[in-house]
Amino acid sequence: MENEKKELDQYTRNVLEQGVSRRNFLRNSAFGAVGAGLLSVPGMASTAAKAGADKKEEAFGKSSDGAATLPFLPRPKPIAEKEITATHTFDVVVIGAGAAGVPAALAAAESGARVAVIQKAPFALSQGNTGSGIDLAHSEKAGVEALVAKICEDSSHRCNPALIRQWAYNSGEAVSWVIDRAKQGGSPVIDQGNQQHGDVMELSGYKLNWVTSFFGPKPYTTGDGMRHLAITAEKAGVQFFYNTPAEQLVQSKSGEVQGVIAKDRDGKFVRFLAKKGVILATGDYQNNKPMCDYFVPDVKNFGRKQMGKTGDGFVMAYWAGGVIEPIGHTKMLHDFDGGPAPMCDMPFLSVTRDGKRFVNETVAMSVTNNYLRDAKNAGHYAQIFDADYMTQAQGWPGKAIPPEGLKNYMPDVEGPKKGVFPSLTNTHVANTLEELAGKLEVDPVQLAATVKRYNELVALGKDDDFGKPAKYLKPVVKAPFYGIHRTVRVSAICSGMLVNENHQALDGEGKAIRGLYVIGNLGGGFYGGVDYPLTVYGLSLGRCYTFGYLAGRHVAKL
Amino acid sequence: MKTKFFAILMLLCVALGTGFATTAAKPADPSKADLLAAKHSAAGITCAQCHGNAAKKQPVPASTCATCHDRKTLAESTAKMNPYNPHDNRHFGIEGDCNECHHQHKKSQNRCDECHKFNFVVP
Ligand SMILES: Cc1cc2nc3c(=O)[nH]c(=O)nc-3n(C[C@H](O)[C@H](O)[C@H](O)COP(=O)(O)OP(=O)(O)OC[C@H]3O[C@@H](n4cnc5c(N)ncnc54)[C@H](O)[C@@H]3O)c2cc1C
Repeated sequence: MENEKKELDQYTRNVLEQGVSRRNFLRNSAFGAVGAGLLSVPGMASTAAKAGADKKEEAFGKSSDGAATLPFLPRPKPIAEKEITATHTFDVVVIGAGAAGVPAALAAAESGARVAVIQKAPFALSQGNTGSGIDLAHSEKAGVEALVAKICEDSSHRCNPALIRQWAYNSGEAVSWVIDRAKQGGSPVIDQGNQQHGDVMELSGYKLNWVTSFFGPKPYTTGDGMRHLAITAEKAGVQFFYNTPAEQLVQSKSGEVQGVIAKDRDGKFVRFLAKKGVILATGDYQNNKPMCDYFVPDVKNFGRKQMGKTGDGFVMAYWAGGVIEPIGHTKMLHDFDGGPAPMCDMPFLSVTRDGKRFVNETVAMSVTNNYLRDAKNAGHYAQIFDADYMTQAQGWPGKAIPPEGLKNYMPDVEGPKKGVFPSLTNTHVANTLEELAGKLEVDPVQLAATVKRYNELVALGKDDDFGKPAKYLKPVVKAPFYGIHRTVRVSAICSGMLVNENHQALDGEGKAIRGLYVIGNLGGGFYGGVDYPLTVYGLSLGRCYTFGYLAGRHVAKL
Repeated sequence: MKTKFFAILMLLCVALGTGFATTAAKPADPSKADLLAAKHSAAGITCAQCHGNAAKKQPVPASTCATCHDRKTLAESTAKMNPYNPHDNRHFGIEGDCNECHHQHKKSQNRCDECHKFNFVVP
């Protein structure tokens, strides 16, 4: 065992040591019990130690501020055999019909397995538009490796590089396959190729090309895309059980995961046995408040973009012996709906709700949330520019959308909107700054003062307040004035369970748990930074498809 | 000293007494008359029909609502609502959890507005 452990990479060893697992609790509690002298009472040892263990579990489950306890990982309640109304047997059971689960199910079925998908919602459900993979045939290996290095850097080098490489060398094939199979189900998905990857392609000077699935434009999203992919999967023999949330795993005494018990829409328990393996793909836990308070307290005041993501998969995998990555989970916050996506990183003057400048505006939207964590700002800020923005912003990162196009993002402008969710648009135009402030819900007096100061810095040609490069200092003087009110909310939390390269869950000893696989945002090791990086647009969905595709095939062939 | 204490005690009693009298005089809390529970009750539906007969009253799942409010019929009846049909939406189809918006014993809420601006009036 020790030998086996020595061979583990440092990422895995660290998560084994620092992560949250049953084993770590038991280890901690055993020390506690010995310390209290409880084990020395003959005959009482086990119960007393257990009582000590329960107490200690509670104590260990407290975050440093004492705010969160472990009740977000409730022990599964025993379900009596007579409560189970039906048992179905398959080769592979996938839990969660999202961006990772649906591809996994189809890939498994195409490899000859009998597959069931257990889904909480009434249909397949996911989100986002862009999923990316590397077109290996048209890329240089050095380019691929340079990108792997960049992604590791974006994750503060806290990810498992082996998993990044696995995405890099398999994603082109997987994303192409998703595009092809979704089309067969009737999806209007297209391959956007390199279209969204201009910046990242110039990163290293080596050749890099892309396969990019675009499930869009809005209101069509990857949710619709996965529903189309599910049509193909059904044709391939996959059976979908909707409105059937998985509740707990079926595990043998030796620890092998043999299936899952779910609740059907009438509230009755149904058991699904999996001869080859269970693939957990239930997504993140952003709607589980105590769990967020514990693992990623920074998101306390932000809104959420998803619903019903209560971390069910974490609870199931944890009780099966799995290890949750340690506190400090990676969060993803953005707003591509309030205004055009290509303008989100343009370094226009930006202000908080108080109307104050708060950051050097070259800071990317993907990390801006860190300045807006308090209850008042809660992810709200506004980008402000004047009538000359089209000429002023030439050569800036991103792409300025002309005034005519901006109207598409203006809730106050009548008429049909295209490619957006109208109720989430929040771009405004006004003839005075005061009027604009009203529309943006920004303090008008402070905004006037901020703009005055900003214009002084522009005239000076030096940003004495925040050090923004002079080329991005442009005056805000000429009407009409424009503003984009952005509200970054939690799109996803992307830290999860410890897995190996087969996406098999590891227990607290570093041993693979037989029969249990974990993919999508529930899988760990792919990120690790404070924020999800937006270097590669569509990395998240690209990774979900790729690992779904690989895990589905792997489990089917066992 | 003693008399002062007694006077305060008397005052307190009077204050409490009137307090009690006014609440007791009112037939029901008017703020609760608008709640859905009151409407259900006025329509002759008993507590047990939703909560069951168990000593500890159980929370009511949406499937219980659906025994009277057929989901399809309900969705059809709100199909023309602006800008979207709340009972057939892209998050839950026609299978949303009624309890998210419609409360019985407290004021109902428009959960959509947490992210969107739909201005629905939720009974
Ligand atoms: C608005 C928005 C836009 C985004 N845009 C992009 C983008 O353009 N590109 C990109 O790469 N990423 C994007 N993302 C992130 C990306 O959508 C997610 O990271 C990705 O969907 C995660 O996939 P998943 O399979 O892990 O989870 P999901 O796709 O969320 O699927 C999980 C599934 O599991 C089901 N489930 C949950 N619990 C249970 C249970 N107990 N039993 C059974 N089923 C259960 C859920 O109903 C759900 O269908 C975006 C996210 C948001 C919110």
